[in-house]
Amino acid sequence: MAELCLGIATSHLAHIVNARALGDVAQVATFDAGYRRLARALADAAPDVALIVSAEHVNKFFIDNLPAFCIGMFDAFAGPVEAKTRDFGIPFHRVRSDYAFARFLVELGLDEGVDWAISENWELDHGFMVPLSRLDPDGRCPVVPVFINCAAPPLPSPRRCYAVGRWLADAIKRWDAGKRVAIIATGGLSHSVGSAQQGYIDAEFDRRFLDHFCAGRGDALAALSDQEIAATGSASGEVRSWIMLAGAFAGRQAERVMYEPISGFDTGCAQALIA
Amino acid sequence: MSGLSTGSPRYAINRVIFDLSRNPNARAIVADKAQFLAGYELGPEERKALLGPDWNRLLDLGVLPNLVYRYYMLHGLAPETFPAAIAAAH
Repeated sequence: MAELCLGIATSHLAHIVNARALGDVAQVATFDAGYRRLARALADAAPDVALIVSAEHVNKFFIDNLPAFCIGMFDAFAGPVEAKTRDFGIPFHRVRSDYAFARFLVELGLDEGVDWAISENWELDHGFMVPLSRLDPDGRCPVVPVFINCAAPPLPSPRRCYAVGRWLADAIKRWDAGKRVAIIATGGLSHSVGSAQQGYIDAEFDRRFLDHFCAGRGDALAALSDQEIAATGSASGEVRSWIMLAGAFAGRQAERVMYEPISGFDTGCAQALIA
Repeated sequence: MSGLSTGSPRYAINRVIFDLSRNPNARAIVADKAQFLAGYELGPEERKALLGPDWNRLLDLGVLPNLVYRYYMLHGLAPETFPAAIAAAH
């Protein structure tokens, strides 16, 4: 049987690698320190494989063919796709994945009502690649990407994301591989991209969200409505990755690593750890 | 595109920006958009908003915010100037 050994949640904005000067120096230092804390936890846990759960920013998935959830099923992927056309702060590079683990999750899910879409060729964007560059810069851990549609409504409900997280934890326990698995959730918290709200951070919502997350009250997060989340920003829907992680560790308390509403980054930046 | 409308009120206008952002000559196309837009079944309001470009109108017409932001950057504009630009346009 496999073991779910670690949960990590972090904002994933690219400013931390390519527009650092826009942020307040002290707040950016806190964000950096948080990444170092999470990277140490990942190294100490030494998982055999990690799932990384994120939104995607209409770089691969478009409204002509848009799943609610998708798993990358391959032995390797590359990214960030943004670095193919401009200096992005981190180079376009290859990351090891784990085909067998991805295929196990997909096959089990399709049998049990979690109807994963699959991708066998996927150049990932900053939502996945920026956190990976900070958490595992040497690429020691194979990574399986999990996509949640957080960018093109209608989005999967928080309740559904929580349920899929619960299913993931149960499925991992049934993976007959004797391996240790980490889950990394990225995105959020409140922010807007490309809308009139850009620059607005709903720090009150963020702190309430983090309080629930860290107290193990995932059910409260699952009960959030799409409208409540969307009111805090056009890109705040990315908190669905945190809600999926809360489902995977249902009832477990988390360590609040940091929270800073970094106005220069237009984002409520947060990190948490479930060890 | 097939040349046949899908009936989706937001598909074609989003498709323009999605295709443009994947085109290696995007910056050059943006400098002279009219010909590129001619290949899409757009309504007059959609074409006008894209040609403007009118950031707020694009959002009103159903363009995904991520694509509005990308379209902004494809015009050579610094991303951090977006909030001021969209506020000024209101």
